[in-house]
Amino acid sequence: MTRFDTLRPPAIGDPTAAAYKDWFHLNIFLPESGRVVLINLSLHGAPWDNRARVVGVALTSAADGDWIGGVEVAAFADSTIDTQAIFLSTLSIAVTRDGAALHARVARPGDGFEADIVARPLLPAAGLDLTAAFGSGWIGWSAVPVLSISGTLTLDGEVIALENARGYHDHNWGRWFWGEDVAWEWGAWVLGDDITIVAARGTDKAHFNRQPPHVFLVHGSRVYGFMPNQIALSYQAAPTRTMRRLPGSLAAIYPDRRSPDLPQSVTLRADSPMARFELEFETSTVAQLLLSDPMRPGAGFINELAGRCRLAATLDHRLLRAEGVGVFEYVE
Amino acid sequence: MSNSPSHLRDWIIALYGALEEAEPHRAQAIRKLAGDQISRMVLDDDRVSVRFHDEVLRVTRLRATAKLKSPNGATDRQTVTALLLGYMEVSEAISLGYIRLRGTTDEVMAICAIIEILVDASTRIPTLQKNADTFLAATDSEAPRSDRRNRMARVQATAQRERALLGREGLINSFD
Repeated sequence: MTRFDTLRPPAIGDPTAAAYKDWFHLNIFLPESGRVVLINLSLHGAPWDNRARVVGVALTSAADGDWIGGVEVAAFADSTIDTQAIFLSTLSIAVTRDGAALHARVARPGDGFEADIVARPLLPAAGLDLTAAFGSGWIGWSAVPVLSISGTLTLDGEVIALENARGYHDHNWGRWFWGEDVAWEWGAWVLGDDITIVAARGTDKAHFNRQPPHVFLVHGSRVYGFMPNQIALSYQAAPTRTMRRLPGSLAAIYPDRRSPDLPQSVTLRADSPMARFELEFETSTVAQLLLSDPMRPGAGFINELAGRCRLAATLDHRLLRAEGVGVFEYVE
Repeated sequence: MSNSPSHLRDWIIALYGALEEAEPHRAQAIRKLAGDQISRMVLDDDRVSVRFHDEVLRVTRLRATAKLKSPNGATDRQTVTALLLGYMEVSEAISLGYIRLRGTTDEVMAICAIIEILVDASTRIPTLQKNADTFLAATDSEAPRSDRRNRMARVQATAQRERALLGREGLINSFD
């Protein structure tokens, strides 16, 4: 039995198929260097429409603030898609045949990014799975939040050690069009003492009308959940130069989105009878993914903020402090 | 024999043709923006004049030494590759002189608006995307990446010298 989710394509005749969105997402956190790796394969539009697109992204934050990697965009007909796998010519994510692991491959030497990664769940139980209204449609989210990482990763010719790397995987799917007044804030942070924290909430593009947040903290094999009224997520935003914007063609026609107001720091507090914590995250560098809907005019902007974090927590009456690395997604 | 565009003339005809077939209203918007204007375009050694006559696109090759009247726009394959791969922003390309646009304000704005229509439409028109893929397949991606690293290193070195100067003058806290 696999703890990994399956893609959720629309049925033939589904009147909402044009708004179909579906993706597998993998983050790899490298605590020693403070680097964050992002590999994402996504589907946009009705699979039988020749305008529908498969988009693959492989990006890594670098020490100098730059981002290594690139984007591949292809038609569905030029991709291979299975129930738990998406293959492009230079990127792929697939659940292994035995359902026990996620296999991500990136072959983009021209962009300085090559990877052959196996990610295995470390939690014994199934991960998060929920759906919510989202714009004109809805969005689903399932997560396998704590993964061991093995394999090979080469960035700009440097072989990266993965012994202490940790991974996060989620699957999003649903129906909406890029360019609608919908957005989200999502973060994943990996810290010492085997701690992983995940937070997410939907919002509008201006981030005025925020939905109740979802937060959980994993410590070893123990998962702590929090009710919305137990959570406070806040940040200090300022105009921020994005270091890399992809794909370049869309970046060229949206020059006004090059330096958006983005969180410089994020504070996440949660307080329940069994767990209380405060996480402080400082943004080091930002990459921006521009997503244009293939079915109608409109675009969304996903800002990936990478940086370091600090945690003070009391879990089951035990005081903990930890440091780590994380990513915060601020979408407009 | 390859059907892939090779000369700038072929690229422009292929791009506009794909747009006209898939989204004719946007092709009409381009014709409206262009009006009766004759524009000159340069990509490396390829030079063309572009105009609409009776709503039909006319692209004529020019000699490599032909004098460029305004309005005109010039760039090179390496800059286009860097832009498509996200290794350079348009503002950088213009400020560094890798994209040169000449003409009145209205003429330059029209050229930019036409490019914006094409790029926006390319996200919905498979043929346009294939054209971009064909272009990238024929160009080297390593050079734009190393150029970007060199540019960033120069910018950081300049920023460090600026901070050092401001620190020496007591205008900011000194950094180690």
